[in-house]
Amino acid sequence: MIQIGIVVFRETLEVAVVAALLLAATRGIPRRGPWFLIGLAGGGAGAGIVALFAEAITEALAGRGQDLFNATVLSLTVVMVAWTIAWMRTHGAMLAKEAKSTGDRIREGQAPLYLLAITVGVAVMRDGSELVVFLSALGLSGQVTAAGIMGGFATGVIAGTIVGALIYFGILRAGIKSIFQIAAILLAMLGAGLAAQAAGFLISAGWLPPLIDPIWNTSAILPDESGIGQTAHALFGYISQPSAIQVIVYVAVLAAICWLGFRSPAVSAAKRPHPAE
Amino acid sequence: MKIRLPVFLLLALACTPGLALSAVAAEPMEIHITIKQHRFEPEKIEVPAGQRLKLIVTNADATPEEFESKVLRIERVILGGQSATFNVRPLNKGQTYKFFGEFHEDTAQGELTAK
Repeated sequence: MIQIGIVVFRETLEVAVVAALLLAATRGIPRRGPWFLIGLAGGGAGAGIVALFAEAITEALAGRGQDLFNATVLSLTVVMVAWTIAWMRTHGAMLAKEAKSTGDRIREGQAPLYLLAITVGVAVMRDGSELVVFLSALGLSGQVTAAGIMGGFATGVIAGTIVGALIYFGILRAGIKSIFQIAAILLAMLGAGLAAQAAGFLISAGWLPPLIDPIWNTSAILPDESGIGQTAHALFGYISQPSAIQVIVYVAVLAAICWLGFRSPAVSAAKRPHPAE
Repeated sequence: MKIRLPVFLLLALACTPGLALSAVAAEPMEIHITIKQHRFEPEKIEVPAGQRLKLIVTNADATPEEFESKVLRIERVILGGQSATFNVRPLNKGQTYKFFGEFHEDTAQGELTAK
C-alpha cells in the first residue's frame, strides 16, 4: 500500500504545484472554488478516457505517440500559465487591493477561472491517465486488494494535497501585496520548466535536436532522484543533465512569460477603458 | 543588438543538422532489456561510451510499467506484453546511468554503465 501511495504521490505532486500556484494567483476572485472542482472532475474524466486509449496512443506515430501526447499537453499548460500571468499583470494587482465591487471582481475574474479550470484539468488528465493505467492493472492482476488500492491512492493524494497546501499557504503568508508577485514569479518558472520538459519529450521522439547533450551535469551536487531534486523539478523544472535546447527553451519561455507579466504596468493602466482609476 | 541575437540563434540552429548528422554517422547500437516479474533483465548493462544507443525495452509481464530514467530523460508507460524503443545520446565514459520502473520501484531498478 505504501508503494502505491508513493507512486500516486509522485504523479500528484505536479498537479499540486500547478493548483497551488494558480489558486494563489486567483485569490480574491469569487466562485473560483467551484471552477477549481470542475477542473479536477473534468481532468479526472479525461484521465479515464486517455487511459482507455492508452494502447492506441502508445502505438500511434511509430511508438512516439506518448512522447508527443505529453509534449502537447505540457505545451498547452505552458500557454495557459502564460495567459494567466498576462491576465494577472492587468487585473490581478487591482483585485489584490480588494477595492472593487463584487460585480466587477466576478466580471474581471471570469477569464482566469476558465484558465484555472482548464489548466488544472489538463494537469490532472496527464498525470491521472498514468495512474489509471497503473491502478487498474493492479486491480485486474488481483495481487492487491481493492482496499489496498484505495488506501494507497488516498495516502498519495492526501500527501500531494498537503504539499500543495504548504505551497499555497506559504505564498499567502507573504502578505496581500506580495502574493501576486510571488505567484507570478513561481508560475513563470513553472511554465519555463514545463516547456523544457516538453522539449525533452520532443527530443525523445526525435522531433527536436538536443544540440549539446548534456550541456552541464549537476547530478553529483543535486541528484534528480533526491527529495530536493524532485521538489526543485516540480517547482522550477530542475534537471541535472539538460540538453542545450532545453536550456534555450527554458530561457526563451521564461523571458516571454516575464515580458507578458512584468512589462511596465503603467501602459496597461492607461489603455484600460476604466473610468474609476 | 536587437537583431543580432535572433540572427545568431538562427545561425546556430542552421548549423545543427550538420552536427547532428556527424554524430549519427554510426548506426546506434541496440540494447535489449526485458521486464520480467517487475525486474529488469539484465539489470546492469555495460555499453560503449560516446556512441548513440537504441534501447529496446520489452515488458514481458502482464501488468504495465512506466520505464523511466531521469538522467536519460525517458518517461514512458509500456503496457503488458509490449515493447518500446528509446534513442539514447552518447554516454560519458565511466559514468553510470540509472533507470527504473516507476510502477514497481522496489524491484525494477537497473543501470547502464558506459565503458
